[in-house]
Amino acid sequence: MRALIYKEWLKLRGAWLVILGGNLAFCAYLYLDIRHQFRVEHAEMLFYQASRIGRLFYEDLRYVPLLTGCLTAVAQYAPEILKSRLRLAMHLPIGLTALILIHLAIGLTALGLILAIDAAALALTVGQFFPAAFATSALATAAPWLLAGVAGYLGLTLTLLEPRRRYQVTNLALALGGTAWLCHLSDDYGAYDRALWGVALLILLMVPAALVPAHRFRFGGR
Amino acid sequence: MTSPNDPNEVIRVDGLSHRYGRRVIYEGLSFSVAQGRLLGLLGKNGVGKTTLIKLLMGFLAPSAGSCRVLGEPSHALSPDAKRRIGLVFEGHLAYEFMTIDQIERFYAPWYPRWRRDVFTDLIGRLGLPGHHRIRNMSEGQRSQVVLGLVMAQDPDLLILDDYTMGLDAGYRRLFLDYLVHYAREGNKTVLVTSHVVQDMERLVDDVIFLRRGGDILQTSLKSFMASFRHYRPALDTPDRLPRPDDVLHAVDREPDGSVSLFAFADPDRVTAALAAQGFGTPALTEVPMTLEDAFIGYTGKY
Repeated sequence: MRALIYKEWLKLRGAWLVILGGNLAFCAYLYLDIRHQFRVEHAEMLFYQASRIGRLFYEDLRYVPLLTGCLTAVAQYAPEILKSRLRLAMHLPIGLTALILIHLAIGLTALGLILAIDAAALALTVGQFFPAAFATSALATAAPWLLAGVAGYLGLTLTLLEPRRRYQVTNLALALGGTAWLCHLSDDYGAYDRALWGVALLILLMVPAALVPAHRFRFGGR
Repeated sequence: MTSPNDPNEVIRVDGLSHRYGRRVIYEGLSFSVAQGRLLGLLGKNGVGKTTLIKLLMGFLAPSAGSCRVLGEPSHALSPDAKRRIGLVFEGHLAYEFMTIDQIERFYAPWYPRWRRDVFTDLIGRLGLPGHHRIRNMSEGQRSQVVLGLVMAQDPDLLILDDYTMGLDAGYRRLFLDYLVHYAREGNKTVLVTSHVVQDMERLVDDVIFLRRGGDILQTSLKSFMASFRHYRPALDTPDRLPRPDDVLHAVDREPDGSVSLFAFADPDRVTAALAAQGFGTPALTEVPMTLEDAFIGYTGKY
């Protein structure tokens, strides 16, 4: 376990820092953008837009977690697949299920740290300019977008691990396209409040699903 | 050949069949490898050497038959069995993003019998610092790192898939000499494929010749080289060649117009076979062969 964490850290750290840097830059942009709006408009007007019209001041965040999840999966698995290095890991003295689950746990942890930073930056930024209830609402509104990041990671992992082209297309369409679409159906405040756990459960089902293409890869893949 | 229940049997393949779609690679392939033997798997391109290695490594499940390594089905090896098998993948596959020190730090905890002395001895010959990254190495240097890692695992079985790929003569010799010494000293079993057939003479005890369709000959190298012969008959029939039969294994017209005959038979039997085909009793000259000559004679040029 520790050895695998060590390997993945050595492999991912460069890409992870770049992705983290991109997200931090976005967080800074979000903060500056909202601050700018409060400088050029009256706060009452902005509160009115937020509470009555339902304007989202952080809508630009919408697809950032999805992109982050996809990039994390590409950084973690694309080199293994393209250079056929996954066979090296598969010959390590560890069961295939444990091997895949540990890799997923490492990738999800790396992704989760960045998404947690995004969520914290969102809450702090909104909380600085709006009443505290808006910050809570912002987190609830952004939660499905953050889940889309996890869906993006798992969906692309399923796609990359899959050795058969037609299943790859299916995984890309269903696992990545379908779930990502499901997480972006509405951008109304709190639109997913009652569905969030269901969506989260659906996305988590992709974790055991990743074992299926991994087994196919092991017994006849590239 | 070992008996079916021989405890010293490291690899056992029984009635193995494999196909890609409708293309049959093997049908009923059987052989075994006993502990401590060094075996070369030889065959021309496309006969299924890599497929067989993939089956033995567990990266393919057989269509039919069984393939057991260290007593376990090769496609369902336990972690304990995998710990006892050292694999060198084609192209000296390695984690290129790691340095020499990092890759040792990664692999060592997986193998309780890790032999740091073996790794440092081989790596020391490279004269590279521990922080040298593998992606910045030449193919030959990388092969030494990969060999060092596999040997440091102290495995009971080593499977090397085309270790010669990309190596010049010097690195090939270093790799080979080190491997032979290591295997003999530790009673290791080695299965190796290579496109450089002449290297096998320095390395292996036994050979398996694999031919298209899964036709197989497993024999000791010594016995093969003693029994397989190359003759030049003085034929005066430029338009007609003898046909391969029970005695004449292969017949080939050389670029200079002479005829080469390959057979597991002494000159008298070959002469009789030629006479039976209406070629009279021509004078036969026996041509000395290297393993590479014998390999080409046995498997054919094309």
